[in-house]
Amino acid sequence: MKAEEKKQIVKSIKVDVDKCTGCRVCEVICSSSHAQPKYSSNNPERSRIRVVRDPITDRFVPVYGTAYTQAECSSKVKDTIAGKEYDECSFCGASCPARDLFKEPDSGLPLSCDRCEGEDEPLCVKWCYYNALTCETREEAVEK
Amino acid sequence: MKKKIKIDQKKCSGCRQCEIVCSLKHFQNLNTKKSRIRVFLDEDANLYFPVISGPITEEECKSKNNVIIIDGKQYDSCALCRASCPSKMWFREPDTEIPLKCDFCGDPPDPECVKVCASGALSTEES
Amino acid sequence: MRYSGTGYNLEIDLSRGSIERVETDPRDTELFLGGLGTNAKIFWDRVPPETEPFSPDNLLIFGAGLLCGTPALAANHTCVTTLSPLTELLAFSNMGGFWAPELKYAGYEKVIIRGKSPDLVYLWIHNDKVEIRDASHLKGMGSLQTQTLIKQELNEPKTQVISIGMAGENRVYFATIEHDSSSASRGGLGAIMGDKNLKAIAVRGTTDINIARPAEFMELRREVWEYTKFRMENPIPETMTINERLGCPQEMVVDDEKWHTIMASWGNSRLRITDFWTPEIEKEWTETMKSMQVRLIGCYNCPLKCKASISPPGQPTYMMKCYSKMTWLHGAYSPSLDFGLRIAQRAFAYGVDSISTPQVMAFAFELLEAGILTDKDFPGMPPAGEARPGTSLPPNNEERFYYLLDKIARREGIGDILADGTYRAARKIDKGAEKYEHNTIKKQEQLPIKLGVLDPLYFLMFATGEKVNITQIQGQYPQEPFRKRETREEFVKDWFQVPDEKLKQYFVDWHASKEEGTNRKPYYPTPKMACEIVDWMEMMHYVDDSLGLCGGLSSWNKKPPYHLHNLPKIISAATGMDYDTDKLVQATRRIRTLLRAINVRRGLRRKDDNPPEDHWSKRFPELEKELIDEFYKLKGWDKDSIPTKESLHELGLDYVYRDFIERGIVTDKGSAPDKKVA
Repeated sequence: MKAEEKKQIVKSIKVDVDKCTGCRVCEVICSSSHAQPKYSSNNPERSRIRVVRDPITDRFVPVYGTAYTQAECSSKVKDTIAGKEYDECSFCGASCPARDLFKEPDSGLPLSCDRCEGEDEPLCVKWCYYNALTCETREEAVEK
Repeated sequence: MKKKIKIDQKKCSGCRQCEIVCSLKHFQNLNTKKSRIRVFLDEDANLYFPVISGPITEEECKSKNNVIIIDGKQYDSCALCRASCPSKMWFREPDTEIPLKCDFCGDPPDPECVKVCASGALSTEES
Repeated sequence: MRYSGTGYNLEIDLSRGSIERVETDPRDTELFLGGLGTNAKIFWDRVPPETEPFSPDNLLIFGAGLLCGTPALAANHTCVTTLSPLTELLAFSNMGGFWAPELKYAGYEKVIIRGKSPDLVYLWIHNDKVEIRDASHLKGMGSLQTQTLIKQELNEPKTQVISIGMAGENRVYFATIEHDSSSASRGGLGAIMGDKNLKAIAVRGTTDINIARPAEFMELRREVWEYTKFRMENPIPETMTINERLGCPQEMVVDDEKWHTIMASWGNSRLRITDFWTPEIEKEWTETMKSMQVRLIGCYNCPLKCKASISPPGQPTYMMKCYSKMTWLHGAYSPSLDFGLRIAQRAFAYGVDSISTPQVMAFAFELLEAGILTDKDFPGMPPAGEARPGTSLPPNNEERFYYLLDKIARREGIGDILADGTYRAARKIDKGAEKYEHNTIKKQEQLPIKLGVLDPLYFLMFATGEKVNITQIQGQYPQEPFRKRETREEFVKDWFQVPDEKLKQYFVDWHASKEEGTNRKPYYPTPKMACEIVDWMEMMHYVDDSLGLCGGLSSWNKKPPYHLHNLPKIISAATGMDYDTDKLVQATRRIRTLLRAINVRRGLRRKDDNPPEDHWSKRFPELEKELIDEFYKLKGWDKDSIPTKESLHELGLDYVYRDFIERGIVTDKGSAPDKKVA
């Protein structure tokens, strides 16, 4: 029997750190849209996207919460990308014991981006005023 | 005092000596797939960037197809992410699939990768 | 459950080292909203008029606006309220940034500081955990550096910090309170913070702010955003580029400074140069800005980016906004934006106001030129620079400005006298120096603007503004009539923000030239019209300061997305209180009147409601009297600017009237003869 070729929609968010103004509207919309009932409260600490912001060194990095990890990294690193130094955790979305990002403030449970299931597009992308966050959708064959 | 490994993407020549010494040190075996540091090629810019494995996660995340643009150059967010995660081809022991996590080569840290790096892309810094 | 608010203030007594979490009264929120409004109420209740600015009994209140922390766009302002060392009246200055929402997330609406700490300290507020911590290692440190160090020391990169620099510590009367890219600059609030020995307040909050009617609120928020987009694409006609769209004046984006360099006066507010702006200067300035500007940045939850990080080679990076780009070089007779951007870095590190400070320094150099001060007063000062060829500028004082800025911030030598502001310095120096102190209102230095024929709107705003600062009063109404009647008619067509339709007609009928007709300044807009227009403009600022909104989307701009018609709905949906336009207008009148009452109690009277004498070369005393009379009448104040029994009663402020009677400020027969209190 010939297997029918399956396709799936793949969403990919592009984060352009050079366009970020550090306004954190992504945090606001993420935390309030995930509130129960929807939009009934706002608390960036519950956001699944956080902006690592330091205007003095010009670091503006929106980071998505990714996965839970039990233990922090043993080695600490500092990346220099395009001539700029970024702190070790700048690009990491892990909910990790070493820091307080991506944890429910009450329960400590990990928070990770769910791409706003049920919405046309992730709300952080929809609300980002300067297109630091954009979303591309494409079809991809499912691997067998 | 905390020690940190400084990674300067611009200086990396892509020689992958770091991968070799890492696998040698931890497995007495030359297999870069067993290394806890991997060097990726940024094709757009023709730059290499080394990534050191960090946290171990049991599930992949929904952000996995994300792209990060820095100074006009695109990076695959999974390549920049230090996690050892089930959706990645790297930071897993190829035979057993046991996650690999950088251990800083002991305590006090004495990372082999830094010692072998000739281009100056890897260095240590006290902070 | 409280909506939009947290229900608690934090009370800190630095003399005793006590920290209290005090529940707020929801009735006060209903009457005074939050931010400035409730700050003023606390001042009225707790600070008697005899209190001196540097008394331990003076309160220093940091109030987050009512909507701060909610998803409302640009609701991020902190209103800092205290007695000003400069004016000795109640001062209130605002700052944007990230601090106010963070305070709300930590669970507080205000931080109320009283007393004085024996040693330099900073506050660390982390939700329920509040500490007074030693800050001796931060003494003399720059304001931004202090913020960075505190974040590092606490190992809390997401902490938001406000701090003072050396000028605040040394009680310079025009010292500021700085936070990230923002500052509460006017009124010398930093000196009070320094007097209390409080170097900084660090806040980190992780609790929720609740919304009463979420769906409705988010729909209103979407409308605000849609209109913001519309306005960014549809500039106001015949308006200078920095103000034609929304936001704080777009000084970081716009390079064309023709308007400012022609309108504002150089030096000690003396010299107007109409031919300064040449293609050569424009090219130079554009390149300077391009070479130093790193990125345009925004404040919390705001769709605009009015500020910029500036990195002058060889100096630390800092953040700048608005007109501070121009004030320093104007004061120093400098043709160089490079100088302007460089000295601003040092000024922000010291934490001094960009309007007062250059004025104070230019005043000192005028005294030196006049021989009232001599070279002996400026030991070791570098000589003046060269005059720029091709301009009518005199030799510049660039290097001397650095010299004097250091002296003022450190209160060394002549700097110690100047650090009290031009009004007091002139009287201390004496020998005729008073004549050179010509650009203050209520003892505070003003923007260096000297114009021709009196403008009734600006006369009222300069004279009566409780903020003693023109940029914080104007905004809603065009400054000048557009050249053609058709343009004016077109403009008013979709001007739905007006509180009353007749304000549109006033504008259409305003004549742009002698040829068009006689409806021109100083007699048009007529006193009655002028009062209504100014009342509206001012009202919007009181709304913003109480709700914590940035004027960039509201009071500072024409046709803004926030206005008297949608704000009551937004307040209602966020807080669950029942607000409509009348109630909001009434609340702002209540706040406005209470502020005047606090200052009346401190001795403020009609004679103080006066612009600088030389602000306009053509003055009209009769008309001015009529304008003020009419304005006081509209406000419900008597001829001496004291709120009347009837208007106080209408606003539910009968207790203010009773206090006036008890203190003998008024008698049953009306206002008592002027008697300066305190």
